[in-house]
Amino acid sequence: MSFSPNEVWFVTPGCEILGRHWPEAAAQAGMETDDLFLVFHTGSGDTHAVDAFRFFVLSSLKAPGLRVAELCRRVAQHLELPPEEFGQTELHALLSDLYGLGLLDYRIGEAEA
Amino acid sequence: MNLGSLSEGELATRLEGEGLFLSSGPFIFRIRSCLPRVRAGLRLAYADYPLAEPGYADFHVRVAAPNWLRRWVSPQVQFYFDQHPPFLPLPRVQAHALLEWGMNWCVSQHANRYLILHAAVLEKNGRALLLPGISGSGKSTLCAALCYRGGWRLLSDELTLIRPWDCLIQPLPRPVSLKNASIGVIQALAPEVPFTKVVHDTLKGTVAHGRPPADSVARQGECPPPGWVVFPKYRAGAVTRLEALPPAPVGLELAEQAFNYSLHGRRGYETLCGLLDRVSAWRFEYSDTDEALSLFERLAAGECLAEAAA
Repeated sequence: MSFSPNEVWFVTPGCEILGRHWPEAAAQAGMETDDLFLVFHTGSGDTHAVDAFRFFVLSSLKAPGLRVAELCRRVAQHLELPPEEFGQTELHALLSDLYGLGLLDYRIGEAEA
Repeated sequence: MNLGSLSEGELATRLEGEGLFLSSGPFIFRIRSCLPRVRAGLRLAYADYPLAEPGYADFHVRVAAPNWLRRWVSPQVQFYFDQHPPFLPLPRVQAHALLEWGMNWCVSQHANRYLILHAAVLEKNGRALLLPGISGSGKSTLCAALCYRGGWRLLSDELTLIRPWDCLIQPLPRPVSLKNASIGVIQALAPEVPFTKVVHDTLKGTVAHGRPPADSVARQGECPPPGWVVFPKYRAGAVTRLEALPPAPVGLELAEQAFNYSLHGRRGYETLCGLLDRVSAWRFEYSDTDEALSLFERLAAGECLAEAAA
């Protein structure tokens, strides 16, 4: 999927992405870290396991959605890192993967918020 | 009144007449058949099961010849559910095994108020142990060893019924199904357990069914909370090994092995999360049954097994 700066990415209106993770359970089991979330998309009824970064991205894209540039800025802010740490092309590839899983949708145009 | 208290004549009269109304877990089966093999299998495997009053039944099932000719020529039997045969007929020698598979099918396809996982499930010290596993993983052998020798209460050797409204496990103790080499392993381990006649050349290989422990049947109304999920894997010569698993991938694997997860939609997901809130999850490899029993005893006792060694 080629990248256009005019793309607005969003979770399909009317759908929710639910996510849970269990850091305490992982710690009790002797695992160093567990950043995996069990995610449910109410539109498709599908369940996925995604890492914390992808879950943050999904959580940020409730309708009306965001352009990739704005999403980059929010990700950097969330992780307390400079925006240049995140290339829009790489983030777009991640969004494309999530689109392939049916978790996100996009349109070409203006974000409404 | 238990099935074992019926005389041979009374059992035959019910099976050939209005039906045998049998309580298995939360369900009542109305079973009808004129076949001596079915009667013998029921008498042996269901002696401790309570009988229900004739009338209402959740599932109406019958095992009979598919037609007049098949009573005599290459004899076959058919399983009927509400008068409809969901499977192809099988050789008559497999009549009781067919009834068992059919009864499990009734629950797995219709009991959709529960989230149904393809997993054996047992209980000890008030918590349930789920053993999901694909065919050949050693799940049934381990389940049989735990209930016949390990002191665990059998909740089901095949279907885990989770109640979405409180996340408790609904027992469905049924005859323990064993295949191929595991029949000899368990008969040697628990020689006092009555088994149905061994049947060869079925779709699942050689099969036999063991009578579930009487205590498990008597307590089939007691629903424990989940405590552990263990994915077993038997491998000849393997060192007994327990490896902790992170919850999210376990949830995904359980969803994939469920019979009706997608049917429940959001409620199925929330039930699965409720389960993961309450359990620790492990991958378990073994080859020695005694070592396995010892390790599960430690698990039930609440020992921290994070170091993943037996």
